[in-house]
Amino acid sequence: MGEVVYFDVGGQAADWSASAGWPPSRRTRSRFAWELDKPGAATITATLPTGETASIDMTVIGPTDIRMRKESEDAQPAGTAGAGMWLIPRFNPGGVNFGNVEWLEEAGPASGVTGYFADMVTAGTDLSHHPNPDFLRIGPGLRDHAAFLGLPAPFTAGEFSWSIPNRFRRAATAGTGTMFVTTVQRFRIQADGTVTVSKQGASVTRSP
Amino acid sequence: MAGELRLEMTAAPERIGPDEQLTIRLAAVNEGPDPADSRLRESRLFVDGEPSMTWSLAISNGTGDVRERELPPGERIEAARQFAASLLREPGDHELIAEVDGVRSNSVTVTLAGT
Repeated sequence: MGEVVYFDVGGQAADWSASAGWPPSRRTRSRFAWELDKPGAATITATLPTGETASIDMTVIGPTDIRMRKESEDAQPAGTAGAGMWLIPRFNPGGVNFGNVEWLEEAGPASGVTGYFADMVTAGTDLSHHPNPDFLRIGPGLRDHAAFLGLPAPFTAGEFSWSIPNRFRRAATAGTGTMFVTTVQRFRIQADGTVTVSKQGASVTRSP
Repeated sequence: MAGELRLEMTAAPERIGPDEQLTIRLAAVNEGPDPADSRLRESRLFVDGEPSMTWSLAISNGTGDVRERELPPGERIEAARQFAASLLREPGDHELIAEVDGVRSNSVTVTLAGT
């Protein structure tokens, strides 16, 4: 989605119309540049001066899911509890170009908070998800980072998770976008200080 | 963090109510001749001199750009997070300073209004 598609009928001037998207029509053009800025379907029709017509159905697909591939694990000093990883997000369905689409994670509360992490909340730490508030464009340089670093001793077992609503929108537009999937990120610590962070198929575990 | 990286921090609004959100933006600027790891994800935020675990969790999670780890000379990269007023714990003026590997940002003062 978000891509401009060009149509022509062998270079002949034609009148063009689109059942959805922009522009809705153009007259006497040898090429028709068209875009639908959100998922959906449209029929593009060209009418030649002879009265002949040709049409094509277009389906515009938005992202429906995110999977994460671990790119690297965070290095930390020995004796320090915590784990983290850099992630490369993969947007499904595969084979669809989302290069003109932006992605945002929504903020939200922690859930299932137990043990060590419940004690952190009691001590005043906010375990809510505070994501990047800015949409970022999907592309080769896009990354995600999942971590909980620098956890202080003494350790006890505990866990919590985030359910993260994800939104997309066409690049270079304003607005809150469209919610498309809720992803899950989990944090777990064992009594020996071993920490595991997992997100959408990627995981990192590290002991102090 | 390489010594030729500079940290810049802003917080808005400078005066917030107990039900408002505080947006903190922390940027690294590479003033050296070589690419450098900004290590923004390992940054610490000191609120009135006390390190904030809320910040550490927030900044170490979330979307970003691959340039964070290899910031070209002369370039700047920024990470932003939004927090409830509870980050500041109690009404009054609060001093915020970020730090990455011994490099400190400018100081920012934010006032949390009373209820």
